[in-house]
Amino acid sequence: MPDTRRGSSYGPPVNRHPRWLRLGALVLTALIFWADCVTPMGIAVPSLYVAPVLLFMRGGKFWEPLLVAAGATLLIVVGVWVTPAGGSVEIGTINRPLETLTVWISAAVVAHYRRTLDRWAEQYAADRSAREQSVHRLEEIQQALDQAAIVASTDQRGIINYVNAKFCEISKYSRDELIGQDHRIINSGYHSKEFIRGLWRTIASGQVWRGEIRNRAKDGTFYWVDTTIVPFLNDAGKPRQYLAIRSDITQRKEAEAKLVEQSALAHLGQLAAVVAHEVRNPLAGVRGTLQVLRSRAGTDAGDRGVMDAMIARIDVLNSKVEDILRFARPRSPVFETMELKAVLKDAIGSAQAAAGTGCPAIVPPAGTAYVHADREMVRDVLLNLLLNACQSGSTAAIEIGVIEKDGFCTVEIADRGTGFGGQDPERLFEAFHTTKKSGTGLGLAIVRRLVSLQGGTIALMPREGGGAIARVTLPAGSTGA
Amino acid sequence: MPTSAHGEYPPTRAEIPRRVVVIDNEPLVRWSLTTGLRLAGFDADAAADVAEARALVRQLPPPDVVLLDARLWDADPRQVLEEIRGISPECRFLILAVAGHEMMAPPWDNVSVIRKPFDLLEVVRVVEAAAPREAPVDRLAV
Repeated sequence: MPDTRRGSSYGPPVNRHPRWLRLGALVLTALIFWADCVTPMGIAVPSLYVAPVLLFMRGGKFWEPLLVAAGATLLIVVGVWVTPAGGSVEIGTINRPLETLTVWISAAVVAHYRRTLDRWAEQYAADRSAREQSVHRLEEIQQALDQAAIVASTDQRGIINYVNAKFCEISKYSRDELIGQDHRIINSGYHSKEFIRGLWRTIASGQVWRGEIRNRAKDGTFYWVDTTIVPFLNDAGKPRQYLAIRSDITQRKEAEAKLVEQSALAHLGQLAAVVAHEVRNPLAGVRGTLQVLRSRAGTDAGDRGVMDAMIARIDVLNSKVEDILRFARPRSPVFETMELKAVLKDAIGSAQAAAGTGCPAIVPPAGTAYVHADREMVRDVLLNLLLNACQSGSTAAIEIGVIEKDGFCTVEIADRGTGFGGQDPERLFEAFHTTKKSGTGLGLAIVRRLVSLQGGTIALMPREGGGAIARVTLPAGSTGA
Repeated sequence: MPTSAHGEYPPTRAEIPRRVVVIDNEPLVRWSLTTGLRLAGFDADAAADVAEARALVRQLPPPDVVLLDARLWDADPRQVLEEIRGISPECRFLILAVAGHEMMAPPWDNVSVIRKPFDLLEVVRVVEAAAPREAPVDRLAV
């Protein structure tokens, strides 16, 4: 039987020191018997046997007060013989049965009380054992869940009150930074307001919500989670707490996105090739015809100016078609190991020439590195990024850094321009997304495509103190080559 | 002894205009190239389809240079190229293409490419460089 002496405040009364109670009852009984023996007949001393019976209110077994009552009965009978002469024998004859009855009634009440308490204690112990087992099981489930899933709980307002280690690991926030916040802290801004509203509508109505969410970690990187949010309801049927169980599906989403992108690019490539042919063929005819007409004797200067302007427009139109082709149908890279310094020098020269007098100073890197890539593509990428930096709206010098590490060479182009204005820099790589009045919005999309074709990566990030950093990582080349 | 338009027969090599045939489906491309090349002193003709091209190539003198569109609506330009090579083995080819890197696979890998839209002056320079003056004279004597 479980030890009930450590019962909690809402447990059964504690059965304290039953050994001392028995001893006390024995001593008390002996004292009462002695008192009965020295007291004349008729004085109701035996009624005091109720006292040792009542002692068992404090503890002991349920049969012990009955045992005391039996003993007291025997002693009351014995007491009749040993009581000294004198006193009222008539009253004594009436009292003795009444006293015996009183003792037995007390014993029955106390025995019943003790029996009830014992049953209560047994029930309580059984409940407690079951509860402890449940808690233990829950702890095991929680341990398993914490190993397998990203778990967080919030109150009914969405304020985070629990996160597990996996949540901290993926979000890169500490537990202290998350507790007390709502989930906006990891909101990536990717999902529409309708999506978020739908989620809240579902869980606030007490239903489970399932879906895939893109979140943003503390360092600005994104991660995807497959999410199940379970609302826990109060007695009034209103949610009092939400438990969110998530699993990391970033790799799957990235792979899916890559497949979709590749498929879309393949289609776009076919489309672009057809469009390029259909546009460039007539453009070639028109341009050539204008050149012939312009060169003919008799064409006046005014008409020649118009024809020159038309030829210039055709060239602009052609460069836009060229952009679409370069994005949608780039050529395969021709790899070679090259020193970055020379390519950078070429790109810096071209950028300064294209940007004109308004171009800020460009500080080349102190060191150099070797990359294994396509020379023309690397030059195009660097030129594009340098031109963006030149047009970033600052006259502060553009700084270029080169680091070679772990088989990759990283080039950073940092400006002090207007930055991204709170916009997600990742969106700038989307095709046809432009922040300029003119332009196809393909510049950075082409840059990413070219970098990716060469096995590299590119990212844009805000620069501390204002401005932007473009970071290109390409496979490093062997310096001995 | 008969005399030619260029003077005494047989004409000197320098007097023979080099013959260029343009094969392209786009009328303005044909017109601008032939007109521009004629202005530059070439004997230029144009074909709008494969049948016309065959007839032109068989005419004498054989072409020194053929400007061939990389995408013809009525034939595979690679077959046309091989066919013309069979008729006139010494003919040089310049391919008119909208995307240069599509021209890397054989048999395009040993021919020069002119990107569309082109600069006429550049085309004249490329044709000038591709057309040898000596060759047509020997073939003309046949």
